[in-house]
Amino acid sequence: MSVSQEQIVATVTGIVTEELGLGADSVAPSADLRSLQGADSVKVLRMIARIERHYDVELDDEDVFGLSSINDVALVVTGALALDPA
Amino acid sequence: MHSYDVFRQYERHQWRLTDLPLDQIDHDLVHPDHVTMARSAVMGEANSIAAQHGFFNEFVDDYDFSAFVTIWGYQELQHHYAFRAWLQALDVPVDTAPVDAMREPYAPGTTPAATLATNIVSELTVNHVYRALSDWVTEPVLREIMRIASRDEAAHAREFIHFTRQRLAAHPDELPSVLETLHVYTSDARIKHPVSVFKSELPELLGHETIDTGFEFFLQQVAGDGELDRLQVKIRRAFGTLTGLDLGSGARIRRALADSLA
Repeated sequence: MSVSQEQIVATVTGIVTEELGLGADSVAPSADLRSLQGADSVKVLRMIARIERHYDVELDDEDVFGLSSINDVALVVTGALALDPA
Repeated sequence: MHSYDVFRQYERHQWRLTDLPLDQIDHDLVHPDHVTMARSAVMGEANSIAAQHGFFNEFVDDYDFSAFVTIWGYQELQHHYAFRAWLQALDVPVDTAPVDAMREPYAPGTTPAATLATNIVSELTVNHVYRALSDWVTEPVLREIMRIASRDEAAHAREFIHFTRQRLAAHPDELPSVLETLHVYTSDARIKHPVSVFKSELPELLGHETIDTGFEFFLQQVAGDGELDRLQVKIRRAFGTLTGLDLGSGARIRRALADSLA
């Protein structure tokens, strides 16, 4: 799959905001996922699950637990897709 | 009714507190760690009253499961009293306040199926730990209590699996909550047990043994390398059989979760 880091950030942002019922422009890529309005551990788990499914990747559990922002998620997805960050 | 079959089966295998040969406790073989383990078990088993309270509230429309809860609750209380009786025979006091605090009800699960799933995790975990501890404990009466409690917990796990399967058949929309529960409880680098999750913050437990005392001791002093992995694999395998899904790793659980949400 050929996809840029910016595209991944945009897709991850879309999944995150959809899961939380937030506006697409209301979340910065650097925001702490667990501090977002309406976020809890289960919703974060659902986000990660949907992101892995979208890109058909399996992230390491250790990576998953260390994720705190959309940028973090995009980085590990990029790694899983064996892409170099842009 | 399934609970009727369970009742008859349990009657055939029922043991009584008076069967425990407490007058035969070998005091020379009692180690301080045994006392710590028994006190930890007393606290873990003390939660069953609150659990019954929660089940009865959450499953008001399910007579069969509620009847099973009554049978299950009796056995869990029996475990509580068995460990207390062993401590009492050694003149080891059990503080009242921490036990009383365990009566506090807790919030229901995200769905009834998630509540049942939580109890599958709980029963499989305690079955595993009691079984291993029964091999480690040298005092024969405590060893026997651990052994029969482990056997009971295995039977309980089977029944919670039955009722979860039945619940999911009638309410397939609750599958994501079951997968979430499995992920939450099998993804830590420690034994994560519902009693600890729900009750560890009670102020009355400060400075006292809790269920975590036993789990931490077990992992540090009794369990061999990879023991936690083996326990988590066992739990994931049980849920895999229950759901018919590949749930062999955290990533596989998340994929199944995403598929169920799609």
